[in-house]
Amino acid sequence: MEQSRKIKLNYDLTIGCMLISAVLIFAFVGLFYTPYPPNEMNLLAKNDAPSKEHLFGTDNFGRDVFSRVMEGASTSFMIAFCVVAVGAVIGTFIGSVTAYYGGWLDEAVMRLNDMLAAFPSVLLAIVFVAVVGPGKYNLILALGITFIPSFARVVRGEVLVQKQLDYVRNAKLMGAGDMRILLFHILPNIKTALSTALLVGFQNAVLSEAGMSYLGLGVTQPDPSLGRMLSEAQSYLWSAPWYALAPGLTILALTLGIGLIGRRRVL
Amino acid sequence: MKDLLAVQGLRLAFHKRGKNTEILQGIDFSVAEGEIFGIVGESGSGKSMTALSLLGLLPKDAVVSAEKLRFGDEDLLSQTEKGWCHLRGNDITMVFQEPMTSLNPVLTIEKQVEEGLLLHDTKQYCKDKGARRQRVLEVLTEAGLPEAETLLGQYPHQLSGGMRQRVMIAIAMICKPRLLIADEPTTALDASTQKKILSLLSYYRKTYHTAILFISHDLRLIRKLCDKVAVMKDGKIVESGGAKEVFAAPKHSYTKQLLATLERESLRKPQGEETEPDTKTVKDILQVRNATLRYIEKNLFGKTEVTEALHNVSFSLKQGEILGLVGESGSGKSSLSKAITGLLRLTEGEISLSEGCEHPQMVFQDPYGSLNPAKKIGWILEEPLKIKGGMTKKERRQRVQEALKEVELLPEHAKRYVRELSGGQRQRVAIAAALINQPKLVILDEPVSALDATVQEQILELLCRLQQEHGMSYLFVSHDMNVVCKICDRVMVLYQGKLVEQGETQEVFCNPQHEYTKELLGE
Amino acid sequence: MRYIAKKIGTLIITLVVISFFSFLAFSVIPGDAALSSLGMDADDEAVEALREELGLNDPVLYRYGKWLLAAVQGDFGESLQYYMPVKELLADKLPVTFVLALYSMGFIIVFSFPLGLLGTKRPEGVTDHVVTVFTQLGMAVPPFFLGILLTYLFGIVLHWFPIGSYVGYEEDASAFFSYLILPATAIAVPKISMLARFIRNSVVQQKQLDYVRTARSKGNSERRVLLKHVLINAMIPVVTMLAMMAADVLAGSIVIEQVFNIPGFGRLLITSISNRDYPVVQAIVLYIAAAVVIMNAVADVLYQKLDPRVS
Repeated sequence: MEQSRKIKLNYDLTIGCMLISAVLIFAFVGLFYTPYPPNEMNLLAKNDAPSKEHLFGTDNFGRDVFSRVMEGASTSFMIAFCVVAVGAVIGTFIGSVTAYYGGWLDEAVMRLNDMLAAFPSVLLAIVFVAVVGPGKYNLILALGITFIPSFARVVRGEVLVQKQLDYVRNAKLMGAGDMRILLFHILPNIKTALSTALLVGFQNAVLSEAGMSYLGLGVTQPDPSLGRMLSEAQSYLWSAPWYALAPGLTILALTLGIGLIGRRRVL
Repeated sequence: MKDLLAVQGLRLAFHKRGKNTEILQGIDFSVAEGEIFGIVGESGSGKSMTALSLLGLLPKDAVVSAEKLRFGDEDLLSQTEKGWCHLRGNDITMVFQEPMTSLNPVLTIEKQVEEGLLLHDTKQYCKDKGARRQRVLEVLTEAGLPEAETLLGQYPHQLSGGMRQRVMIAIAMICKPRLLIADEPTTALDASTQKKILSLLSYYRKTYHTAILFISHDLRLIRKLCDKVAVMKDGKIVESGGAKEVFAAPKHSYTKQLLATLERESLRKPQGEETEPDTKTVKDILQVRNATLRYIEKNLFGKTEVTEALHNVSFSLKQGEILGLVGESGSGKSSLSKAITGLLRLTEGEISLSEGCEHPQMVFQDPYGSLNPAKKIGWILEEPLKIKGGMTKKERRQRVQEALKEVELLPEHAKRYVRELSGGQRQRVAIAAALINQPKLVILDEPVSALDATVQEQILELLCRLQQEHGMSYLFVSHDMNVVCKICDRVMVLYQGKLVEQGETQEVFCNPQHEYTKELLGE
Repeated sequence: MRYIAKKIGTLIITLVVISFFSFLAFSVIPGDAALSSLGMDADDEAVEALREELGLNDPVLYRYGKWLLAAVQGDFGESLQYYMPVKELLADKLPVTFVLALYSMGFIIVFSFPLGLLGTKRPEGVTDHVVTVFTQLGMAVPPFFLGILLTYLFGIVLHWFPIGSYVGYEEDASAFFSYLILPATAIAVPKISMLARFIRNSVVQQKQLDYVRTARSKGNSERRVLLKHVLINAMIPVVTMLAMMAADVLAGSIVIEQVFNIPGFGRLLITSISNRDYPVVQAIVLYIAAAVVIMNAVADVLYQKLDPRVS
């Protein structure tokens, strides 16, 4: 049984890494090179099925779906990365400092935090975008802010446990300052929990970005986006199903890959 | 007397990652009806696994074999799941070490106690709720819980550790089993409760003629309670026989070693061995005056609840002295040590530390918790030097190596993580870390409580040697009188936040004044 | 009882805070409603008159109080897009979303429990791994993409499902309910996967605790240990999770209504945002926020009821 567990573990990891690196390479190359200019229309090749010339076929304007997915993937990746970065950095800061010092500030911040964490992040982001308007940077800001509570919560819980432990008391007795204790003593001990939160966060960020862009509240023209491609493709599901499948499967590959790695917590 | 339980050539192994780990290597013993049989051994000797194999409760990846494993007329080796269900709880029952976690947290006490009746005594009790409740009350009262009536609707978290263990015993006794297995049933409890649980077990044997298999690491308990004893080490029984004979004339060297440790403990400090330091010329390194500590909590309805952890505690500690601080958990001894180190602030009173001793260090009970699990030993030992500053990297490394040598560890230990070391080694690292900046005062908070007897001895020796070499003072905090008397010059007894007794170790031991001290000494 | 009273207290405070922020966000920040309704080149006096009429010149707190008083009575003003009271506009959208959410919750409850318990008999065994593969996939798929896939499979390939031909409840109840099957599935699948995973982990974790050994030592059969001892403990976090999931389902329905062309809350929210119809947006946000906050309070109370350790 132990043996099979180990093999399974490697399967999860290998498949997860393969999926992610495939999308990553795809997206990275898309920054410099695409087979066709992503926005070049070719009215002679409307809704063409996948072929040698157009690997994923063409859309209703005759644009090359492969090239557009390449570009869209890099946007999705970038946005998800930034969203997690914003959420994780601010969330970790808030969570660790409030947990470490405790008191009324902790109480107040966490009340607010719990209130926000109860709302699905897409919902908060929709409200945010409804106020400030759509666009790439507004989306990063909107999602980033809505991701803060979950990170703050995870980090706070971990720091609350860690700060009770004797090694922290020991460090205090040695005369270590608060920042030193937080950064050098406690942080290395919560990296497992943090890495899981990062992976879950990244998966959610990819899904949220795609959802928002699908609703027309995320990335706007002319920036490419997998989510928006899907909403455009939906009307042509009858004549050009590949148009919807290509971006959808790309998102799925990315989220599944992260999910598989996250299950084994390797970071 | 007829043998109730017969075990011959019991072997047990775990298959993990293709490796075979042998836990039990052919064990023979037998328990007669109405007999109390003790198994003594250190953690990891395989005594708990022996118990679990008698109930068929071993982990799934365990492989058991035996020449003979019989209980009454039943062959335990060929039991079906159904057969086990019939035996367990009815003929053979078990009480576990951890009363805090062994009860189901979301079921009421009544539900948990009566379950045995529902499972085994179908005719009499299944339909008649009143009779069932009557029996539950009876068995709870018998287990030493006089207010059984109020307990019925309560949940485990509302009870103290001692009460929970009594509930566990009531659960085990409700079907009047023929064999009761008690696996370290008193280890998690304090001294006075321990004694009461032991007499409860004797009572059951006398009243119901129940045989008891009593498993413990504590030789004293076994000696007090058992008729027969088996000494286990590394999966083998090294010696067995009547308890009196084994303890009077041990044959195996390991038994002798265990007994010797015990003997030394009860010997107390021989007179005149140490020259008493002249009290007048040696200065006080620590003075505590009228220390009072209250925790004030506001509950939901705005009422304030005050709990007093320390009440008017005064004492002083001289340079080069080892002062013992004894008390049960909750007596305020951790609060006191935290206050001295500055981790807690007193409500009233003052603590003054003499010059050059402003930073007392501490060694904690659980070395795994007090050493940063994410860092290597070298880093952990270097950190205090870094914080203090004034040393180059090379000097710091040098100092770390010296410190490791001082606590009898090897230079390569610096590259290990805490989890790679044994309990004794970890405690050595913790001591090295506390001493690396050469403090004048070290507070030892139950430094050996988590260790096995032989390792305990070694660590105490190390502590004594280091104290003599460096001339430090120790405040030695412990709940264990026997450990305290081995190493301390003076002793204080803390009870419910008050200092009830203090004096020279020998005086306190030979002539205890306070009731509580007498109880602690088991008189 | 006191606990519940306290919960209701915090619930009301939370709602007031949310309503204030939503008022600020949609009535103050977006700019001058009078100007935007009359157009940029309207004459100054007309704008000023309308401002006075709309009460835009009053202090913010006064306006908030007035608005809140009306909102509590269900009056959210008039839609800028449809020129009808928001209340009427929402009246026939609310039940649609409500039914969709209930439908999804039903699916979640019915499927996640068996799926979650399937692998717990032998953790890390074959069944457990197969279930894990499915739950991993289910958690990774974006719900709207799943919706599109389902439409393609059942609508275009199999012709079982009429694409985009939503029928109202009043017109044909059975057509209405059968139309909602696919959207509810698209919302539920990721949640089923997540909850099944959660149930599995909770049960496996509980099974390793000491009290389970005690239960076995009393002579309970494996089945009885699971039913009478393990499940009752394992379900405490699961039930709270389920209550909190209601909020996620509501958020999910916003996107899925878009995919399947269902005229519910979510679709109205999205069109109102693009048309800057703020009174409508404000009302929907408040409704959803109230639902989320109430479900959270329900989760808390359930938790307290189920776990005797919480007082």
